[in-house]
Amino acid sequence: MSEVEFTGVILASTCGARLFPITNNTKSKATDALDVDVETSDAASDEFMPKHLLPLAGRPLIHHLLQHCRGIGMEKIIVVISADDDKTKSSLMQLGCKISNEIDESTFELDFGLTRIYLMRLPAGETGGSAEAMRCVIGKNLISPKSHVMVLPGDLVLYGQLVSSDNKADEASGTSNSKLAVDALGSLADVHRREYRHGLEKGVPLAMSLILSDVGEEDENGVPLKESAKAKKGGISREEQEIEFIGIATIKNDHSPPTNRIILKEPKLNVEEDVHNTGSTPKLYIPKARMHSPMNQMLIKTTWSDLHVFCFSPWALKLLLVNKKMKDLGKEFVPFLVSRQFRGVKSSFGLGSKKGSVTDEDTDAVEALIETMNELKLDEACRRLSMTDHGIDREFDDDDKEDYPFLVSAQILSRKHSKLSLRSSTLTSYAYACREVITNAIAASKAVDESKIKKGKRDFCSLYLPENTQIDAKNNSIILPESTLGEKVVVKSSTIGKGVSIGGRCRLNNVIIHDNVQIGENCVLQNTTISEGCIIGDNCNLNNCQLRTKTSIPTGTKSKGESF
Amino acid sequence: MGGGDDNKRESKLQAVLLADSFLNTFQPITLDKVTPKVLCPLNNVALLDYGIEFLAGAGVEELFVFCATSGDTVEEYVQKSNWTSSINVKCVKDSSVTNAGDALRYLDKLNVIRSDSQADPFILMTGDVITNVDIVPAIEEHKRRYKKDNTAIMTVLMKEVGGWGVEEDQNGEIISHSSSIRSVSDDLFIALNTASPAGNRILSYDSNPGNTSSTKIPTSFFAANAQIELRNDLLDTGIYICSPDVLARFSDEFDFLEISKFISNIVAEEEEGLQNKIFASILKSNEYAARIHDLRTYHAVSRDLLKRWCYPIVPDNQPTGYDKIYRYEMQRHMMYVEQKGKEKLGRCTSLKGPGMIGSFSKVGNETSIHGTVIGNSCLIGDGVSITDAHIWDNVTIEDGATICEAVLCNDCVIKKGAVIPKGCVIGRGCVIDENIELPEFSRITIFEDKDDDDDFSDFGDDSSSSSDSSSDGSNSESSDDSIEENKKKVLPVLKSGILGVNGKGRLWKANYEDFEVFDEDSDVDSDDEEDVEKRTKLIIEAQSIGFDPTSVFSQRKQSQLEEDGFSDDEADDNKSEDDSEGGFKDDWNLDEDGTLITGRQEGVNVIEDLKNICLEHEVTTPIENLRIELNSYKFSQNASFGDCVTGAMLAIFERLDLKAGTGAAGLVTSFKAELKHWGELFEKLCHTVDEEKSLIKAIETAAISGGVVGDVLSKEPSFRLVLQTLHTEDIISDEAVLAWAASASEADDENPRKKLFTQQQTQDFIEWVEEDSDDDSDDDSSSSGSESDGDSD
Repeated sequence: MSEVEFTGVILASTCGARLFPITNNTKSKATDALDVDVETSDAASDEFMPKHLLPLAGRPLIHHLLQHCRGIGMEKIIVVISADDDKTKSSLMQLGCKISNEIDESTFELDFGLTRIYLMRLPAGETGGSAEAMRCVIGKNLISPKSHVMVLPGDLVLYGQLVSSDNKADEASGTSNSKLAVDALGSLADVHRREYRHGLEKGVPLAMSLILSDVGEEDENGVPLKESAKAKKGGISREEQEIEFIGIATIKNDHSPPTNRIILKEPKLNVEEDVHNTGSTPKLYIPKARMHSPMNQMLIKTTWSDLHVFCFSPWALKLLLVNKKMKDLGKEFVPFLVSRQFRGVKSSFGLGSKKGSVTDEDTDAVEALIETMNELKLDEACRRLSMTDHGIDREFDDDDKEDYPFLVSAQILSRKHSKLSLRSSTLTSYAYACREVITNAIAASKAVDESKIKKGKRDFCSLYLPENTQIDAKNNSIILPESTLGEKVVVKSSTIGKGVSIGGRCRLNNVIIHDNVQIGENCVLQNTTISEGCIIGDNCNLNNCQLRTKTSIPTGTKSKGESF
Repeated sequence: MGGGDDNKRESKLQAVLLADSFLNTFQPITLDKVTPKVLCPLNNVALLDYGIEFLAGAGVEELFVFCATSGDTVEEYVQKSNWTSSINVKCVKDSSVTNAGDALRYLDKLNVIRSDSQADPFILMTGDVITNVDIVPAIEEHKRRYKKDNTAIMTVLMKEVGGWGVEEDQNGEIISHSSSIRSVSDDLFIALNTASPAGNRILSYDSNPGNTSSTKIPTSFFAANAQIELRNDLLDTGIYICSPDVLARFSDEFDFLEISKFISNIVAEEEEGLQNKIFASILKSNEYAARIHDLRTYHAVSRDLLKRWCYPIVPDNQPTGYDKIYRYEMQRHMMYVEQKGKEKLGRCTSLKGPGMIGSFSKVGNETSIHGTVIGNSCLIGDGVSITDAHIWDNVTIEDGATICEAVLCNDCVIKKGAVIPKGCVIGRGCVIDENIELPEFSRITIFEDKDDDDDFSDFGDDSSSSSDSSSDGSNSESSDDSIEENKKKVLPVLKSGILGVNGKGRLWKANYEDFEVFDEDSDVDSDDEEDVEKRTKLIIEAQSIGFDPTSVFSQRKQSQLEEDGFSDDEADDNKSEDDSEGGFKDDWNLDEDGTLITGRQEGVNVIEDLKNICLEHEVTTPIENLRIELNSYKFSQNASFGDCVTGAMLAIFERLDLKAGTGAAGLVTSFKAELKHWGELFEKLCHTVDEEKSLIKAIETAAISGGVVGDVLSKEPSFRLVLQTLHTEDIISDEAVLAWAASASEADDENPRKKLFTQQQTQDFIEWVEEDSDDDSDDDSSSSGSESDGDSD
């Protein structure tokens, strides 16, 4: 297996309970918790529609994501799907992947240009969270031990710098420039690479880096807007459970950009929970130990949003293997790393304060720690450890109290670039992503028109729009090919999929229509998402509705805020 | 000032200078009445003069100098001084004041800070600040802010100095770094809203050093502030721009003792409508401000001034009043030498700065002086070595003495060959005999510890001993004591101890009650005197010149790290955490049935608290007072009347002062006596049978919980007699006794409760009660009595 610096892992094993019903056609409601990273095994019906296959501007989300990864030159990507997912493979074939090797019954190797994609099916009955899925992946030996791993959620939408402000500057050099500057993923890889190197030099190793997007908005007095207010203005609004208190210390470096170190990461719900029922107002407690030099300043915000794009150093994966009880990356492992970075490497492996003989179960941990020490070139400590490492019932002789603090760094996207960097894990965020893509496509096409380069095509590539897509700037909509619109149809702020037919005198506002939908005459649709293959009768009036695939809506239905 | 706007309405700028820091860090220097801290010389200029010079330069026209201690000395000094012409300085004296809060309340009462124009702020400053900050822009900004929003009452000037940290260097040695002008005990955390256009609003001010491991910010602040920056690299300079409202706020709340407490309480208010806003103005990097908190910072600031960090406040630019008498000139190695009464230097003497030499001082031959400030009229002999020391006026140092990192106050004498090592303070008029070597960090004085008590004489005989007297150590010396009287108190202390035969003075020992112990484990009962003494000593050392704070910092960091672990242990279930502390009490908010009680403070032991309230009750006062007190506590913690009577009953047993040998009769006699007083309380608190049951339960708890009380109570027939007494007094009813009997009979045989119950005497009593109640109610409850009899075995 050849060495690659970064291995991408796309976790696409969940179907997306919060996107119900458009991700699921079974009548039984998805049983999984609100946790998006928990699988549903009962979604085994033939109309299973995992969220990473939801179309965004005519293409499944995962296609956009894979294009991205290829765009930054990632050579190896592992796509993790659930045991009963039979759609992703064919979807990847549509993208142009070719199966080159079948490693075993659950793992395929595909070629996607120069990038190799490993499609890995999790064993049936594996119902754990993202951390467990990661452990499965590591267990398959697909990741070389020295490779860093970039974990991406399958529902990630990441068009960070698509419409860069330097459009005008780009005119001279064509659009290729903006394409180079595009990627949040690329910049994350850069940051990770740089901090990892620095960390080795300074003896403060890097455990992981992650991407934060800035979704805050303020009014003219600098008072932040509430989530509901942002939603009204058409911005990204988050659910309460996604909001976190994140504290970043920016450490100046001599000859390189400053390090953004995450030193606090607490979900809002945890902080505000009144555990003891004292009735006092909730307070955020910040351990003083985290604020010592050189981290004397910490910026705390609630408006940073964790995109769940994690880049782990090789040793951090060993730590993940050791911590077998952890189920979820975002909820358990990352907070664990953030809070333990001051304690140090040894204590994170659970050995920091241990004295005396080591039990059997610790053996793995000790071995992993020794490997880690080797990797991090913490030489002296390593020697001391391996010397005590002979025989089974060895003494874990840890007289040297010193531990090695590590760090967790962040790449923060600017507010502008955060506009289209999100996870489409909820209905609102999915609708928002569709809207925002339209805006971007229009802006891109305008920029192209102005610079008179051949019509649009090149820029569409960076958005991965299908060819011959109609962009209606006036009505803020895109209409994919092979769709037929009847007479006097008004379409505003909408996406209309392939092979859609819309009857005459329909009015559509802020509607997402997937492929092969038929809509009768004189319908009024607002803020509605219609999945593939739906048939809507004449004279329907739907507001705030979501339609599962292949739903038929009888003629004359009037409905508000319902799921079909 | 601010250009053309409203110049007519602009009235005189006022300022308040607190001539007392209300700290004991300069003891024993300040023990004599003539050198309060503000009159101590820093680089041969009194601290007060720096402050007044700064305020005069800032455009202050009317200055109130508030003196608590040594008011007369300060007043005299102020009147003699020359700057009185350019700035109107008034002394305000009140010797009863022991803290900054009281001082400001006193000023508020005097009504001297004009309150007619609220828009005009005044400057509040502590007397130990050295600064060259240009305060005018900050005042203008404060005014602008106040005009828009009159709840923005205060602006705190802060200096960015970097935080402290502990690291391991390449050789594996632990090194610490911290700004030298930050006192060791200072660990200030400040949360600022840095995104607001109004300025850096302070959202949290946590000056609690060391003993709490986390700082907190109410989450509601995040809804109103887009980004909050938490910093611990800032230093409160002790300069505040205040609107006159600030004084009123101080008067509103008598708990505000220090200014820091005022700030932290004001900014912690979460209710939007009640908020007063305090802003921080962060000094520019070329501006200097530092507080002389203790001798360690005294040394650091002195250094900074000599190195010209605080230009134009440098030795060769003396403040008004001094400039006519002295003229310093900077020579090689940053050595400032007074020119008018030029020093006489011996041959082969090396002078190295940064340092200075005052007028008419003489230095002998082959002496080396490094980094030392020497005052006026000092005599320094041959072959003396002085490093990093501060030598005030009229000091005599004889041949061959060695002095390092010490402060030598006025008129003291160091005889031949004596060694004064780091951290020492030699008080005014002390004499160190020949060839004496003092231990590090010793502070020598000839003055008695201050004492307000009239029974001072009790200790007077014993004056040569260095025992710590019972002084309360507060600075509230009555100013009526004239200096003359004080001098009488100065007893010629001749002690052939560490100062030598001809030495004069005594080793000063800190009265540890004065020093809040900033150590991590301060929650440990400080009964262990030796331990406390050790800790006090450490605090004193930490405030001395030459102290290496590494150990303090690394200890503090360690304790903070340990605490940090508990906060995120949910993520920590990977390894054997099962053996974690099982005995940890976390049922404080559960009642007996395990139901959650809402609205109770975390970790409060209600019964214990109620018991303590009862124990503090004085029998001479009406019991009604206690009832009210218990009742209000009950409301505050959502407790029940049952809790109240339990606490009261436990308290009674504790008050009985039982001895191991006390018999049942003695117990009951004294118990009855107590009941005469307490009976009324129980009558009022016992509304229903439930409270009576709690009462019996309390006796039972006392009996089975061991100790002297438990032993006496559990001995037959004490328990029965106590029950009987209560029963006869009509405090407990038949019903309650029977209910208790029923529940006790169900207990296991091994349960101590059961043992109490099965005591013959108890059984007899219960039987009697049963019969009694049968008689009363005259119904067929006899069967239940036989049941309980039958069950008991």
